[in-house]
Amino acid sequence: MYQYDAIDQRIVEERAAQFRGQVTRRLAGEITEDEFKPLRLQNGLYMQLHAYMLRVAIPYGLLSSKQLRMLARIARVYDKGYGHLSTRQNIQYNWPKLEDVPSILDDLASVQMHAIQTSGNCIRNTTADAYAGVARDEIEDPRPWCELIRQWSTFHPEFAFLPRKFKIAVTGAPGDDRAAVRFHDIGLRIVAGPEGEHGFEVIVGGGLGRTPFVGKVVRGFLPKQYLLSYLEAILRVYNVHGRRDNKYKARIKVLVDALGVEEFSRLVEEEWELIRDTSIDVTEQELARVKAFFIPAHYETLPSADSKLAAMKLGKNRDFGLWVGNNVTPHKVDGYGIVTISVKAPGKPPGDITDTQMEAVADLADRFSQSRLVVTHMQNLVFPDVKVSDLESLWRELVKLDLATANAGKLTDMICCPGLDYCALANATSIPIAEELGRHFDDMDYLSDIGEVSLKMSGCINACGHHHIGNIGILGIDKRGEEFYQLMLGGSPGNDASLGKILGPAFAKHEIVAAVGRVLARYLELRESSDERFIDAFRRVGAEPFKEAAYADHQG
Amino acid sequence: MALQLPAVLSGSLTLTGAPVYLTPGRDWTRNLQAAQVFGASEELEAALGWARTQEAVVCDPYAFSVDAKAELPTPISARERIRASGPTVGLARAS
Repeated sequence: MYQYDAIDQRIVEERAAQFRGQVTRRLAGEITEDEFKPLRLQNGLYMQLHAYMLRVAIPYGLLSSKQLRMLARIARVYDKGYGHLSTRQNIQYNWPKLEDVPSILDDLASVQMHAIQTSGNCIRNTTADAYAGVARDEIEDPRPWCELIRQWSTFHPEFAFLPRKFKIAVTGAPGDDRAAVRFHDIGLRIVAGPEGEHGFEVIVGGGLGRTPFVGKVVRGFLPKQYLLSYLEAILRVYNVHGRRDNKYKARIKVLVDALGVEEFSRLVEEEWELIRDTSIDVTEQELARVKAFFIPAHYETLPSADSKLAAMKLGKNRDFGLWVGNNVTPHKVDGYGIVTISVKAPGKPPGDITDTQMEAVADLADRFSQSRLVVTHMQNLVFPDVKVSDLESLWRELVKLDLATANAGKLTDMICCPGLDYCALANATSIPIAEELGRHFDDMDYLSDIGEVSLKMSGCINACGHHHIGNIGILGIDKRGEEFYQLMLGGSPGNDASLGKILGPAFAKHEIVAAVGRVLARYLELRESSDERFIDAFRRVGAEPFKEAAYADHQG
Repeated sequence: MALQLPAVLSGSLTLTGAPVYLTPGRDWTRNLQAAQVFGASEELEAALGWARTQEAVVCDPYAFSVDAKAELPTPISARERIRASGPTVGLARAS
């Protein structure tokens, strides 16, 4: 866990006090909505369809049990008893009253939290691999680097009013990208250099939304000490050359595409030459200072539990075995496991968690995971440090909370945006479709049979639900006041990054779930073996067989 | 796309963000069915101008189209139908 120092604490407390004054003046009519809007957005407060929405920052998704209890209290006291986990590893409240928001920010500050950098055209909350620090395939923990980025970017005067919002993600596991780094404004992969030393592969210009792009490698290997000066060079080039005349062309991905990656890289390198080897570069001493603010996990010396895990998967308790098989990932330390707590129970809004669930999960984190947990960009929770010998006890407690769905990485582990049920930008609802999909595909044997397949859904072209990078993507659209849904296939967020393509005409609301079912049935027919994943089969045979199946009963 | 008449004028309560609708008596109501339906653009523009002076109470006023054939104000878009009636899904606590 990262612990605030006195400066961090003072910043968030002063920010909360400042916003209290702004809200007081707004409610007294002393400042207009036009004047107030940028102030509230800088504190994560949006106006949505039915109410304000407050987005709370969870840097790189890392939470203590104490912080989660506070999030539960906020949900209960100031909202309607639940929060929504977002794809930037944050949490959103859908119903706060304006007059209560300063008190919410005070409460957040009391547990070293805030809502800064969760909105506006600034550098947003930096995200990381949800298994950071504990994954077996990781070569270095990315979170100290995320924290350095946070400290560098928070209130950076040069980057407070960028052409558009700016998102950075970091992974320390070069073999398996669990942070979708190729779909960020900047994606950073910690990689080993020729001498075995670690550095960053710097990827720029990825993103989703109305103009999706896979990010491009701007530098294959950046020595670690240069991270901040190199990021600063990229941001400077973007600040100067990014389009401010057209909101829809203002993201860095459009600039990289327009200039070409070679020219963009040349401009960055040119700028970097001017500022590298200055005080902005990260010394070993500075990295050690930041690392010292992370409370380390304490591990007992235990024997390897890999064979025990394998036995659990095949044990008498089938439900527990399925959960271990799908929701427990091997840990870098012998005798421990990484547990994914699915917030995707069948028929429930994906990523929504109640105040009572949050409090109970906080208690379980104290008992089983050294009082820490992680919010994932997949809208789930992770307990990073669970003893394998504790898994069954933890599972039994999660069952009572309806948080033991054994679907991590399966079809029903969907990313889903709030859609038209909450969002002022959406064109169609997405949660009802997710709920129906969850109910329709609630057979674990079937989910196990179809294996690894991702489904992601957005209620509009802004793509908060990452529909372009689902193996199956669903995009809600509006046709003359009615909701329709486009089906996309072939997207992937990982090291084999690809963008899905629209299959054909949109489906009516009552048709879309059945269409997904027909696509999956066709996959089962044409896969070469049970080891051939959906995405691999799609890449082998192309879209046509799936299109034929999807539109077999289409009403047009 | 140009706004099609008839239309209703709406905004969000500054205090809570809740949707409200302008009534024939120049008051705001949470009940869409009590909203004034504007059939003439001059009348709507005048009301919109007045609504913009009320932002201490209601912010971001705008108009949306309603069904000309319906007896009571009925939005044409799914967005306004959901905005008027609330989320179509149960809240996490209740579900």
